[in-house]
Amino acid sequence: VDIPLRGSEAVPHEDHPTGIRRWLTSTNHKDIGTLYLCFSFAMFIVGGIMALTIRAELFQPGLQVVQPEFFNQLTTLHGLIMLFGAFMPAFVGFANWQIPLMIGAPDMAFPRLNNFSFWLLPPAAILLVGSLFAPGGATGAGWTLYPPLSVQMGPGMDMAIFAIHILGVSSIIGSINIATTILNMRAPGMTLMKMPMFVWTWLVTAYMIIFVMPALAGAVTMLLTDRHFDTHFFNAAGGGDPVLFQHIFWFFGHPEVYILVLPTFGIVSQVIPTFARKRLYGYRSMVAATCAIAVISCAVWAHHMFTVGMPVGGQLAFMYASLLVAIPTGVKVFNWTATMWEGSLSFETPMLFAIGFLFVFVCGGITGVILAIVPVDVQLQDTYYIIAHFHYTMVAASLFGMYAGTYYWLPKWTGHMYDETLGRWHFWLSMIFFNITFFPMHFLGLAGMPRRIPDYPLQFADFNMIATIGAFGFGLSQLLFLYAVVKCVRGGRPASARVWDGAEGLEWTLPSPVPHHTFQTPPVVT
Amino acid sequence: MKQANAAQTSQRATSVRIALLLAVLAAAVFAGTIVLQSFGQHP
Repeated sequence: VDIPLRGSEAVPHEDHPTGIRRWLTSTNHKDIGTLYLCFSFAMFIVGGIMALTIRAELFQPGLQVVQPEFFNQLTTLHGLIMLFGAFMPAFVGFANWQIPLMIGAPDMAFPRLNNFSFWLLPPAAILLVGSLFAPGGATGAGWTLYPPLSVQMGPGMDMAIFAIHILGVSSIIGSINIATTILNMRAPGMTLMKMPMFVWTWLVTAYMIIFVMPALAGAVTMLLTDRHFDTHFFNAAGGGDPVLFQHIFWFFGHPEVYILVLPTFGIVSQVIPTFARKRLYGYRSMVAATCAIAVISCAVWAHHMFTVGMPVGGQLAFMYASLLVAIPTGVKVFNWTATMWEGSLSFETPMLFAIGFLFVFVCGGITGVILAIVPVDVQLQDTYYIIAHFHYTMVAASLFGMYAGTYYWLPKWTGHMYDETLGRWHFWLSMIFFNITFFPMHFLGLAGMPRRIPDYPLQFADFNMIATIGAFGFGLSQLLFLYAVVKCVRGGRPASARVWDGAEGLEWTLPSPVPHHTFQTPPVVT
Repeated sequence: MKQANAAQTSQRATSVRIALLLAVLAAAVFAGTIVLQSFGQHP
């Protein structure tokens, strides 16, 4: 999109609270964005420590580090914390920081609501992590919380349900705020089809969250009433049906995958054109593909349930619908590649992470197509092949996209350039160790190793050992990121307004670091 | 000045309308999930 800019200079410094009041009572989108990002990284570390404990237990066959019950609690909490505590808040953090800057708005549409939706997160996190200390420990039902297991768990399960409620409310409020901001706060002249792709992907993501998150809230509410008020929604003996829980859960769960990856698509769609010094190839088809992915993703949920039992017609319908997602996704991959084609490429850290994202996302996408085929899925259901598949799509794809975005906008946020050498080390170590961790899991899954087990037969020992070594390397590599960010915040080479010579868009018309208040006089986009 | 204030108020009102609409959609999905599930029971 060609956006000649006028009148977008920042307004003079105004009210800017300092100290603890700045963070507790802030209604400034930049401060709240920072809070979201810091919170999500803290949760990422907590979920990561759980992952490393899981991998330490799986380093060798037999039980060495934790007891099986605690192992199940770790796998459950690792999933819940990473999804709801780390990844979703991180994307909301990006949205808070970037969307008003990219559309020329002075702030989010509802700044106080914005503050509220962030401060819902810490109590939810305390509930979730604190459930480990409840009688009987945390829930060990898996992040999918399937009944009847989840109905039989101790009070840790209730804490998890309340945490999910609170996190869900926070996500929904945040999404309403984001969607309203995008729809109603754009600078004059910025039509929908002139919006940057990151804003487009977040608009679609916000709709998806508003549409599917309440379904999860409904499911866990029914779980709660089944546990304490003698309803029998999911109890077959009382006339209910546990399989219906799975349907509702995955009606939320599958779009959730795209909720976590669409904003990444947006980030990558900003980064690649900048470092290819070309316009994004096929902007309109990118927008259409984003919308198509959102619609189709709400109609494929039962591919997670092929082994539960369903008529062949149902299996075929969900199989074909699942395969269909590959088309708009393929359009995106093609467009990113075409953007790079004959571009004047340079490979700074954001671009490395964007290309790394492309590589791992295509790997995860291909195994996704493989798993959509019913007879294959039936063989691989609940094996390590699934673990490998979704970690390729979610961990590396979402995470690498977020790293690309962080390195891309960090100079704009802090006013300093990050340490490029550190960034490159972070990328290469993450890329190598990620693949050492998760690629062998494909072989483990194909050989039949089930997921969610603390012990395993001897024939799986070698690949598990490799995966554990990779996991510790991957985990430790993330400390480099923390160091690089802290170093950048504390100082460094001053960043110019337009940090990257290929960067286009309203945010690059502002000085670096971005003033506390921006675009109080709307810029005119022509 | 008056015009600017009026425009801001109007924008604010539109924001509230959009937000309410989205909130109603979310509430409808939540309630619909539970209601539909109740119909699915076999007493």
